[in-house]
Amino acid sequence: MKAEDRVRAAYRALAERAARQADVEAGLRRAMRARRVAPAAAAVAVVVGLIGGAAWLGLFPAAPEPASTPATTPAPQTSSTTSSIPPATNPPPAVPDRYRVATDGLPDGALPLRTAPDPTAPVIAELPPAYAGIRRLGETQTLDDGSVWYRVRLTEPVTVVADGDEPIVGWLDSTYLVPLPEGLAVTNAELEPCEGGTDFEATNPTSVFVSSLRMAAVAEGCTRIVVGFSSGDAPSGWSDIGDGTAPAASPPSWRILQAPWPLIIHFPDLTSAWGDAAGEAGAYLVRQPDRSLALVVTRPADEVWVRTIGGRLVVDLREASRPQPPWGPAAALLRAPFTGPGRVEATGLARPFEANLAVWVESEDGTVQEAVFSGSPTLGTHRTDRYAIPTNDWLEAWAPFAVRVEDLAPGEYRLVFDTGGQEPLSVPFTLQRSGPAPEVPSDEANELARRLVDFATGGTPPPMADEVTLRLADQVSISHPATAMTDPSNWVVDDALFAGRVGPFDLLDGLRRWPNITVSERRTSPRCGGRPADWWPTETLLQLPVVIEPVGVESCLEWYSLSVLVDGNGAVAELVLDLYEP
Amino acid sequence: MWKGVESVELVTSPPEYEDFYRREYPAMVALAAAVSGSFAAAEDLAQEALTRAFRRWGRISTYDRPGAWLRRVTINLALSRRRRLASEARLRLRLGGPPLVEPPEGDETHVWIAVRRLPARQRAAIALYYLEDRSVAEIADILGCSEATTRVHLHRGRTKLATMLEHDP
Repeated sequence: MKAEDRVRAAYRALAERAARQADVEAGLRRAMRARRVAPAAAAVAVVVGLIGGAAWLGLFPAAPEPASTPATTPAPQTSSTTSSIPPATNPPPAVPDRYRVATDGLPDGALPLRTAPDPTAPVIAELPPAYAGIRRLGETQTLDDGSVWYRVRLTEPVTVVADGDEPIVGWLDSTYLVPLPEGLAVTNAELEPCEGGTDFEATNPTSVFVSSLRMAAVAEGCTRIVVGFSSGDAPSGWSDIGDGTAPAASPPSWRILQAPWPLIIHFPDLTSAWGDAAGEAGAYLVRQPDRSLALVVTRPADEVWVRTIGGRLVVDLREASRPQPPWGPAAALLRAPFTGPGRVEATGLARPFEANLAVWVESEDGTVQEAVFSGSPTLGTHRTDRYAIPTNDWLEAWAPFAVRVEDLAPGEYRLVFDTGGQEPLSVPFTLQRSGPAPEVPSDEANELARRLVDFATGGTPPPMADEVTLRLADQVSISHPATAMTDPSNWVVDDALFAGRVGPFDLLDGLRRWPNITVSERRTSPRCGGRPADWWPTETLLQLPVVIEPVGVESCLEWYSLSVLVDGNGAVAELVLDLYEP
Repeated sequence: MWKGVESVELVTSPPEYEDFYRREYPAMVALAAAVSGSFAAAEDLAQEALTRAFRRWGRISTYDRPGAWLRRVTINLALSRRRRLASEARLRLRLGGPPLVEPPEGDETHVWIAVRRLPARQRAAIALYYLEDRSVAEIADILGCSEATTRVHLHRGRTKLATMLEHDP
């Protein structure tokens, strides 16, 4: 059989298999249930794939893991003594009995615990996303719509919304339940809260993957954070608390007086994570600019204990009396906003819905103010009434951001951070004085950008220098004479790999796909989801580059920047494409 | 404190979305599988793409070709998944993790082994070409690139596949 026919036959077989196996009706029900939630299903699928091994081309028999079937099963229940906590390598029981609430797909953002296995039965409690205190009691019931309900008992504090008797027992739709992986079976009763720091048996964490983070107030004035690691290999290279540069013993066992703030524990080897941070308590898993992860605790503490216990990282904090920075369920500021003449600045962490954090300023009466916004990760500087900051496409992690709002009149305002999926964080501030007008792109820069977009979509090119250099960031460079640049095909750099993508790379492609742009002039190159790059040879820049970025992208994967340098005559001399690198 | 009972709103979808879902879901599963390389993950990827369409249905239903939007999202999700798996696979290899799963024997297997060696964009273009018999213009629209670039992806992809399969019958 010819190769062409074999390929065609393979694809045809794949299509037939998909048509035969795809459960359309079940999927449609899931889509309807996921009406208002972050699109984390793909991320969850990725993690399931990671835990199961990076099997490429599972076009072969492995069936998808249902949400309520564990990739790993939880450790058996333990007694209340710390010495009995099993290491994460203990053989798991055959049937999982501990679950957490999924972080996506929840109707109206919470999972109702009901008095009966019936979606119309009275609600006993609303369980928030990632709530981990669920013990399955064994009874199950399958409804006509195919959903399977578990009878459960709640083991962690929760707000109850209906009359009833304790202990809290009810029914949950297992569609929204995720088995707790091994190593997460820490309950309040298993560890003495905030005591000692050396009393616990410490074993190496056993995976490179942070699987979940949950928090609970375990005593008056004391908060515990537990980071669970799923089965696998140990994180290596624990770094010191503080600036993250000094190496430390592994596993860590620290007792810290006058803890630094914010408290940051780096996981330099970890690149993927899922599960929830306990934003309401001020602790977050954060994606660092270098793509690794860190646990950032913004709750001020006088004393902190950090230990590994049975494959889990346990952080106990005895709270300080210092003022706490503003935080919300999906956005937190690392410090109170800084105000200057006519401007306010804020830095923080966000877990945005679809990777876009919207920021705006409103007056006391709720009127949204028009101002000049800029940010990092940045989309340039522009005047608008609200500003979208792309953070990253990893919806289960938290990402750092910084925003500056300028050109505001004196007055009382609120700075609002809307993550799209949770209650916005609203922070009041006062401006006493107006400030100077901020720098905005020149008319020439805007005109050059407009002409490039026009050319990308079929118009005529802007003036070109005698020789034009095309670059992919600081990696690839080719040159063409000006006459060649009227042909769009010469704007393609035929390089195999760049920024984690596969070439060739068309420098006009972004302008075609995202002609709605913002323009800035600066010496550093912006980066979506990271610090601005400093690879510009600034000593050679006679003029600031005109930097073009898309507006309204939903993910850093769609982001690009096209930096344009012009010669003394205003002709394009160099173009640099940069893409987000996952 | 125990409080009163809350009612929970039942969620429904418009009939046209349900038709769209039923029509597109199997095709998206196949497309996601072909691009991501994982049938196990394909249903999740297709589901995710269609769920995104549902959340934006008021806007997407007005598009001339909502299917093109859906395919672009599906491909992006599938490519994103591959990138993440690739980085995790490197990490696992460095740390001595479990071995990668080897595919079973069979003629179809050789095709997929060859497909996985294609660059991402070529794989996506090839999938749209063979799975759905899309024209170059349609593939370009879905992939968000020019027709010339699409022709290059298709030509190179098909040539590489033919070469690899000739040497690996």
